[in-house]
Amino acid sequence: MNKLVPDDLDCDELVELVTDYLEQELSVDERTRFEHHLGWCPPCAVYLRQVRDTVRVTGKLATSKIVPATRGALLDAFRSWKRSGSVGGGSGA
Amino acid sequence: MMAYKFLSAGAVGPFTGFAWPVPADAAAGAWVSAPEGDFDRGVHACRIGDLPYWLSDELWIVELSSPVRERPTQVIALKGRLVEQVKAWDRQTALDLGFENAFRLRDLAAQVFLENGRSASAEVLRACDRIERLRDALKEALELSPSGPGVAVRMAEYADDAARHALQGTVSVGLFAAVYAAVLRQGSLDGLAAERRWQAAWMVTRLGLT
Repeated sequence: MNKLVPDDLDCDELVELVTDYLEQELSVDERTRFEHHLGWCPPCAVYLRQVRDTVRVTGKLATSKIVPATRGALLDAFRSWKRSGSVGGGSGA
Repeated sequence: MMAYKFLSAGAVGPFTGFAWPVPADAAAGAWVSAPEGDFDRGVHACRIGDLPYWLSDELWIVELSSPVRERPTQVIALKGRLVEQVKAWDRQTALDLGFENAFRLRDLAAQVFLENGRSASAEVLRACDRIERLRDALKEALELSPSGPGVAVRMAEYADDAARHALQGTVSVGLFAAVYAAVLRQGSLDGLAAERRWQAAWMVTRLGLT
């Protein structure tokens, strides 16, 4: 679809760029286009806030908080899942 | 160089979350420097013509160090500090801009209806002088011209977007709708520049900017 204003990002493009934006990997012109989009697209502003919150919250998780038994069970499940190549472990959960 | 900067409430950067040091005791706020002297991550600010692109809760006068890099919709310096808040920019002023923008789009839609022989639709729009009634008037105008033309319908839809966002307080979205309407109307990006100039001029007049 042609855009009336060719420089404008659309929402799909913003989603693709969000990681680079948060990691400050965008050029100043790309960042400006990104931020212009946020100015007129409230849903994308909400989306960015949610991604930021997710990064902040998950950044507080520590591996030491996983008890060894749970960690072992999870690793076993992942290994068997990769070997079987199927989705779902048959646990019925 | 003196320039302008929009910030979220509490003098916080709307994109970075950075809490700017504010002026105190008639002295400007502390200087803020770009990390590692990186110009691209420097202090971003507005010339008057840039203001409509970056609306936020608070408007500040900011002093920038030299040199200043000029970009299409902003200027960037390695250091900047807040000098004074433009108190005239507040929620009500932003809403007034949104309402006037919506009526400007209403006028454009009415003009296009008229040019295409849909005078009844144009009259309904021109008779409406209250923002609370504008969306109903736009709906009525569209119902009176069920077969278009398409460009008039699009103008009315942009006007409806502008009215809705003005009433919701999301004024910058309404200003963007006006930009799109202007580009569509003129058939070129000249419309974008002209509309942004009008928006900036409104702010200059209302806020007494120089």
